[in-house]
Amino acid sequence: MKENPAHGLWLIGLSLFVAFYLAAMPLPGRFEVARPDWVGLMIIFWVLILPERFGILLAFVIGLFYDTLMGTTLGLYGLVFAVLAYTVLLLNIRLRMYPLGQQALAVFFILGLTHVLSQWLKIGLMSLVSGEIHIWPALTSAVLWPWVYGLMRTLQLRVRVQ
Amino acid sequence: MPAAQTRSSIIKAIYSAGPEHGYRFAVAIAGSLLLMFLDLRFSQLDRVRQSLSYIVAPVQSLVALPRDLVQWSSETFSERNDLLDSNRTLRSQMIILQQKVQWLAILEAENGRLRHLLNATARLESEFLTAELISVDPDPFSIQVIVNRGAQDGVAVGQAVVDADGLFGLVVQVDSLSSRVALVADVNLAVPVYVNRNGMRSVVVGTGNLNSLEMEYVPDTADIKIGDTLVTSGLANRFPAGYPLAEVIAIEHDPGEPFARIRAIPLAHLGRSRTLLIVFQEEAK
Repeated sequence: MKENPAHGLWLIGLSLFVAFYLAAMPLPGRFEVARPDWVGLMIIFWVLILPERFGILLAFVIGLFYDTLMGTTLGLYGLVFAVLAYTVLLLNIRLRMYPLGQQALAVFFILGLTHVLSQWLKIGLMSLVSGEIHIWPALTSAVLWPWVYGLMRTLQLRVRVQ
Repeated sequence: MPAAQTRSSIIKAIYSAGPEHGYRFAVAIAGSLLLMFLDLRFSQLDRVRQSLSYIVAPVQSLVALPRDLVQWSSETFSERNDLLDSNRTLRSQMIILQQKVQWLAILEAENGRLRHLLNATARLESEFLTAELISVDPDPFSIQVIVNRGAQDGVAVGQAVVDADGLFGLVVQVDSLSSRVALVADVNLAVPVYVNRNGMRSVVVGTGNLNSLEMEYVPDTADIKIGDTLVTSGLANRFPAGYPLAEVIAIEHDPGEPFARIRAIPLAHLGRSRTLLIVFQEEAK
């Protein structure tokens, strides 16, 4: 792709760093269950906007880093984020056509699916005894999606990430 | 014309990338399944994890930064009188502790002589490494903390961690600069103990609640009272012997159950302690 040189890719790295920071930040005990899936939101955004730069393999590598941050079995979140990126790629054109509210609904279902998957894997592989599946992270992520999308889209156009 | 070309090339890239995505997806799935299998079955992958953790480490230290700043500023800008006060209390505490240490030397010598008389083996000496808590595990379903000592300081999986008042937890995963400690309240952890008053052995398991532990398989007739201290017995060679773990706070006898329900409160300040000790125990042969 010579007509489309890479530009401003540092914003992707920075946004992911911030997402990792927000994912590791301590929250008061009651709100911990409802922590939005920041890294998942960032992966959805970049796969949606730049599918030719940000694909499944990059999502997989980010998942490995997320595994070291969360202390899960290496490859668990690699799998989960690869599934996330693949789902978004399959729905890419449709998602771009949707208005923001409908996008948020789709984000809710996609992230809900990945949370069910990650919780199943945790229960199966790490013998997590108190493995309940909660709907909260997907819900808060979906509620935050329009703002995250607006902010990131503005930044992406300003920096001309491509 | 160039703009239109760019757009058409992007659209072509999106549309034509279908099967390619499928292949990449298959590669990613196969890769992560392989990694999970290797990580669960073999220990060679710990190296990979440790080198990955170098990149994640800045995030963790950044998370701890605001709290460190608050602490630093409260120490720097606190009143002179407060500092003098705390200095004075610490001094008197130190004198009391020094006096106890004098006794300890005498008792230790006497204990050694008595053990020699009884032909018992000498007690194992253990060494400590201080560690500071840097963050709490963001996963709401696991009770783990992250401390600032890792493989570079010689920490290994399976070492016990204590705080000033009792047993705190167990090192479950070691990264290069930090390691992960499961607290004794974790549901996946069980500690062999004995009752300090009469030496009765049992096992204490976590409940997932920071302020509550439970004793397993204690018969209704067992001699346990509220207020008894539970001390680690060192059986199973996992935890060092002789550290206080918990105090019994409630005993229920349910006629329908084969065993008594005994709840205990951990002596270590699981929710508050920041300075911890990692115990290096000599291998018993």
